[in-house]
Amino acid sequence: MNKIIYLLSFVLGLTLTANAQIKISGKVSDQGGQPIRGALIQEVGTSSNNTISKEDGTFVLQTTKVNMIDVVLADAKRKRVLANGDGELKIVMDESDVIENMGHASVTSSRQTQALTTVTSDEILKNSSVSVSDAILGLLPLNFRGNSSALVVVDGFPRDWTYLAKEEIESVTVLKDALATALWGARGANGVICVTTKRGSYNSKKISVSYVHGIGLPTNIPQMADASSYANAVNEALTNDGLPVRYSPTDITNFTSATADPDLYPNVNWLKQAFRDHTENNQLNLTFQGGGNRIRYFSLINYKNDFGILNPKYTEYDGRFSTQKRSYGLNIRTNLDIDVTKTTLVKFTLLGKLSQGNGPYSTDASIFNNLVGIPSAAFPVFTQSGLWGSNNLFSTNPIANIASTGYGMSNGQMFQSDIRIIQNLSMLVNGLSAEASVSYDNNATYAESQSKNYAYQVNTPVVNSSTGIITKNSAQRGNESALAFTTSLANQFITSAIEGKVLYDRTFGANSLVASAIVRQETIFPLGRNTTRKRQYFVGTAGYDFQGRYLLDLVINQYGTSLLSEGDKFRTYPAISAGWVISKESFFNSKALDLLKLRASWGKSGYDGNLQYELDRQYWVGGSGYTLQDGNVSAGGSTREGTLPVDYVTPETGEKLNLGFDLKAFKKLTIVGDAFYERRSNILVSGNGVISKAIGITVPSICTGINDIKGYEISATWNEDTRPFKYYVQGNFSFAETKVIENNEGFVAYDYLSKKGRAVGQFYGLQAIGYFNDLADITNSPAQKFSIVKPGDVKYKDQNNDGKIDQNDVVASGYSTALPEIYYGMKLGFEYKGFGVDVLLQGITNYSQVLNTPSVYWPLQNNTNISNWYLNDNIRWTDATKATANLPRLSTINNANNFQNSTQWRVDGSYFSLRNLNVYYNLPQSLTKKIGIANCQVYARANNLFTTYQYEKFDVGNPALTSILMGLKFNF
Amino acid sequence: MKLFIKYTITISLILILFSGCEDFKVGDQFLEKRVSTDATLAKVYSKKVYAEEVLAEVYRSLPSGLMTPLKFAWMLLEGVTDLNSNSKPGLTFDYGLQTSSTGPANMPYTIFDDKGNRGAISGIRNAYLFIENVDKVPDMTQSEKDIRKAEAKVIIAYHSSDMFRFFGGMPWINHSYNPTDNFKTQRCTAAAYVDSIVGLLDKAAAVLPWSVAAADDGRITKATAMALKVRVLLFAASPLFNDAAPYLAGEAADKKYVWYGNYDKARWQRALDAGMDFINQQSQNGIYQLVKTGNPRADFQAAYFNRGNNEILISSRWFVTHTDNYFANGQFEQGVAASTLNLVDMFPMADGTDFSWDNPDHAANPFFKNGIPVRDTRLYETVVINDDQYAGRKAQCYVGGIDYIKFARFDGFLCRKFRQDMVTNMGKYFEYPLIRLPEVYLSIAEALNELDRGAEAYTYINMVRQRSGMPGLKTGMDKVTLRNAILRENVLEYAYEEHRFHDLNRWKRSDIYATTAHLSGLQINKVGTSYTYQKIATVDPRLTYENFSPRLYLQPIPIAEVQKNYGMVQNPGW
Repeated sequence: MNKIIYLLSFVLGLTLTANAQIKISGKVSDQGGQPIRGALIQEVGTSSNNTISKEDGTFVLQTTKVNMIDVVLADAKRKRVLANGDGELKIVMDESDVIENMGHASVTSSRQTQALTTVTSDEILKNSSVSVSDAILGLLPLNFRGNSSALVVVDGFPRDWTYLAKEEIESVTVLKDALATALWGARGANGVICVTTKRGSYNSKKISVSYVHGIGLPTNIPQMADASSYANAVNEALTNDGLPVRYSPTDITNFTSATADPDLYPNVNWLKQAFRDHTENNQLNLTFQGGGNRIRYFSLINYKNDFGILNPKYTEYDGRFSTQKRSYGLNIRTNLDIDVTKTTLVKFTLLGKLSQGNGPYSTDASIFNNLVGIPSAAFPVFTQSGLWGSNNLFSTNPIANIASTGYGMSNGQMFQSDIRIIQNLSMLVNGLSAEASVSYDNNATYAESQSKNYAYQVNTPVVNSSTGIITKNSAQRGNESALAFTTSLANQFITSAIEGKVLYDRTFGANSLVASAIVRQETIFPLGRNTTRKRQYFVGTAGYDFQGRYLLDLVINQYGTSLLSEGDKFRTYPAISAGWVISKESFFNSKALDLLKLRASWGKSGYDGNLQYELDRQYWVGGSGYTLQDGNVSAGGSTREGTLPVDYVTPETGEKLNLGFDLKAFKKLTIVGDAFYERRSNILVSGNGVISKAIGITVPSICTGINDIKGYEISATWNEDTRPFKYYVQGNFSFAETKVIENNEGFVAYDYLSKKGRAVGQFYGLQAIGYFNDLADITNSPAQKFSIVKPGDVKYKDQNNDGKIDQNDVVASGYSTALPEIYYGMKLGFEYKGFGVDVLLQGITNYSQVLNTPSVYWPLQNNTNISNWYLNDNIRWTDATKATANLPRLSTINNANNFQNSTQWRVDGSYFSLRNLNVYYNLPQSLTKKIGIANCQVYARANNLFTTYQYEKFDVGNPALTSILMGLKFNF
Repeated sequence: MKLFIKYTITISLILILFSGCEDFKVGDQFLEKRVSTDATLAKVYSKKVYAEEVLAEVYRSLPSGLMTPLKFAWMLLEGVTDLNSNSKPGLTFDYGLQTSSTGPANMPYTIFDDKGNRGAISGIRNAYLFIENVDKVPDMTQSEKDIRKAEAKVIIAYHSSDMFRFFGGMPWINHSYNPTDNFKTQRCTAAAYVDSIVGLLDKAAAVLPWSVAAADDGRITKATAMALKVRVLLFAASPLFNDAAPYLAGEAADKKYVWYGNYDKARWQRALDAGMDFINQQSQNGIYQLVKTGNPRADFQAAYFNRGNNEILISSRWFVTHTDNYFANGQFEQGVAASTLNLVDMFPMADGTDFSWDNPDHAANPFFKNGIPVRDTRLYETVVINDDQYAGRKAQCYVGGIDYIKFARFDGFLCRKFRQDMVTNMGKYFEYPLIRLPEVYLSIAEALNELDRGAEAYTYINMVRQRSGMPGLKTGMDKVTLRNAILRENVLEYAYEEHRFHDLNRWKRSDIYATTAHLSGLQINKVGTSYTYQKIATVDPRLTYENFSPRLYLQPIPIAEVQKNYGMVQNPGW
């Protein structure tokens, strides 16, 4: 064995110094020159030979030969350096040493040939968003590379990440190219977000306490018309429809009169009534991070609460319960790393989370739809007699819908755990280690609700035909009912995984070899039938580099999923990549340029997320029953055919090519650029286009769709530290263009109807070319038979010149409504003598949106409401505004003509936003030391302070919030 | 090394502890699907009881004419005609404004329904699946299997006849398709389609028993097959298909998908023959007869409502019981089914003479005189009449009364049929009659009249009238007058049973469609203990009929199917 190694070493140009003692000494420090305590220094290949840096950052390690050593800090940073025993090593741990975790494997940027983006805790903590996913959203484009629904991995196992507190996260790495995503087989093709939580470091202790108080200000709430504007609009619409008006001039004056009976002439701003002007939230956070010689720990207690946006005047109305939207969450985490022996490391990761939510019994959708959809002129919140107001037409009182329908409460309990045992086997073979890990997560949400009905009063005016005096006729409708109690297990899922891994990591002088073999099984077990998913991975990886100059990596993943057909459960995902660090070549001699690396990768990964068990087999399911008997007999059973099987079920395959470069210059500038091309095939597409519905059952889909995605990403960072002043500026830009190659659309009557060659999610619609001026215009134009057309209705272009407007006149215009093509952003900040500012700007463009919210954009029809957007912010068609109108005439009738999918309602979805602003001050340490505090920071943050929309689409559902946070943080 | 072994054991122990021994599998075995209760085709046809459940689902595909959100957007087919208004605010009344791309839920009839268990095409598929597989069942006799297959065939014919009435000749589906089959199925000519339906019915009738025991009530019988044949042939003989010119020019007309291509009197004869065949079988085998106990009002109610009454020849039992979920009183009261004065005025006086508002006695006492009903008894069972017994009290349809429709544009009446008194039908077991015996009689009468044998027609019309206590029709009418009298009798007998719509279309009655632009209502005012009546011409949003187009006689084929370019030629005018 030794002989072979000797021979190998000889061939590879290595000189072996047998059995000589080499003393390696050095000092570990951070970029600012501060010594780092508790870093692990270990010999590559014989990692049991290790030591820990002292308080001043120094260390001494005895070895027998010239070799590489690894410096590892709290499992978050790692640096590999050559140690030949000559002089003192100066080891500076900087951001290029950040461990980029890919789940089953990790890499640092010097060795990296994958396309990855990583953000670390510093950046995440600066963000003003309360939730991690929101914070990350600002920092990374999550719908990257034309795909959405990326896999989220936390500490190596697929998990939900929305519940995590920012303080427990060490880093987030996004896996983009084939080499990285092939590791995740058919879960990886849409990209993978790997979250790594914090861990302790040796011989150190850090306690941190922080408190944040936040307020949220609702923004982007639609402004609905007041009572008299509404009444005028309804009259205008009825006149347009050729129907008698509903409100007399007296009615309209009464809506604005202080003396008119509010039961008959109400003017209610429902949205203003429903919401208070701000929400409040608090967060208390306590972390303990550190360790001794053998045990390291990171522990966190995080408590969050949020007091909702609803008006307390109404949420406490019932007295017996509150319907305020409140949430509370408590995270308790303990991450332990124990060196059981010199060669055995056990890592525990435990997170418990308790959460509670409260809110009205009515759903958010019902609340918002009623607040927006009920006109201010409909009825008062309360009638003069103190009952909820209502009328026969609308019946739901939007405020009673919040205050008096009961409440719903949810109670979430979650436990996440994994254990990983890493055994160094260098006593068997140098560089060999084995790892076994198991994860078990259990997540359940219990729901409790009590619901009730409420009594309301309907007031209708009665006009005395002779005197003209208006009196009201009041009738009580509905009844107050008792609270009806229900409770349920709203959702539960158990996920577990088990993994075994053998790793071989060795250097032979200037040559490094890393290889691993991984076996992994995952089970996801949610409530319900046919929902359990099982997956299995057999992964082999190999990486080689020569002097850190030529890099080569290989991944092969034999991946199986329970969703595929019997006997056909496995697919193979290979990937290969190469890197060339030109700046390390001897011919390359530039003082200014610190690094220039070229990277290329090619390979495959898949996506099985939208497969179903039912796809590959035919099931018969219970029908609704049928009675075949005389007299009063209930139904007998019935059975019907389930969905037809798909001919050949296979996961989506993403074949990805990535070309990239990393450049560093002047010790301050970093530029990373990547260009990519992906062919996504085997997409599950509908068979409807080619198979007739005469089949009599839902036409099965087919895995034959193909899309192409190509684009590029570039980011440049300038980072200068001339203490006491330091600053940074970063700009980034990404472009991704999607194109449908095959979608099984079948026959199309005209070329322009084909979706092939267009972006995925491309907007299609009729082309609005103005409004009909008069009856002659209608007569002389192609027939539009969606509904009876009158002057002021939208006029469409007859694309095929067949004299009528129908689905054959639909054309592509604008961009995709699914994903923007371009994301861009800027980060900048500075710090001077403890005072600092961070700014994060973000924008998207090449994106289309469709305005289709009833009442807000589509007014009055089917007894809906109308917004100021329609009435005041735009020009609707009337006889007087013919020339300048940009919206069609008002109408009360279901006007299908105007509300076709058309360019009338398509808008530019671009925006540019100041996503995050952070202003902080670190109290001078000279001051804080006196009271035993290492450092203390006060800060104020805000998100979404301003956003410039090309077109501001109102958010349906919960109103968007601008949040402002004030925080205080101590480190001990 | 010792250490290594020690830790390997520890690791293994922990792994086993965590994952639980019973779940620990490796390789393909691990990737097995967890147990579920899904049934395979083999299981479904392994026992008679399961096979019968498949057939029950085939029966379930039979349509219901009552309002549900699943069909025609809550509306009634009657609401397209002059009989009724769907005037509830907020209802999307876009009949006549529909296009070939209107969604199936807003169409009066759905051929292609993705839900899998409703709609003609899926009913046909399920029927063929049953026919193709039932022979595998071990515990059924051959004759049982043959009868059940024949039942399934009649259901295929029923759906095909409905498609014929709404679309004309359609592709003839003769087996259950696989996605890989060739779908290049052309539409059939109207003639070929009728012959296919009739051929299937004849085959089924040869196997089916004339009637079934009460325990099998609701099943298809030979009588069903023969009555359905009468309906199909009568429809085919009507001028929509049987005329010198097509109702509208177009490719589908040129290819004779939507008419025969000429007028042939023999088509009426064929309908008459089918009717007489039924009458012959009935006289030989008995069983079927009109419900007639001598109490006309109760008899008429029992005739359309009661299971096992030997008058209903085929019915749909979509639902188990009448509940508010699909047959909502609330919907009625808000104006979904507001009967028009046009409908009410069609009901004659009890002595058989026509009602007229110009007759002062009629106008003063249109419904009751001294508390005694003055009109055809069927009126009081079809429409809620002011002051009639209703919901355990007197109906209050006057302005301000409890039953005054709150939002309807048609005041004064609301539908009573199927709803009855709003209370006693709730919870009753559900049945919607698709063919009742009177249809055979009235069809024979119509065919006789068209064959210039009008004098023989009265017998059959009067059989129906007598059950309701009405005197016979005045004899000696000319052909056109008698034809109109028969169409009117259809209204009196079948209002809210989806006959009027088809009658108007097959007789190309654009004149009656035109009247629906100006339908009338009745405003009843209570003055002291008596009532005053004011006829009101109401505003109805049926703007369609101001520009009525004959294209409405047949519905558009969904554009998505036409666009697949396999031979679904669009109907004229769409």
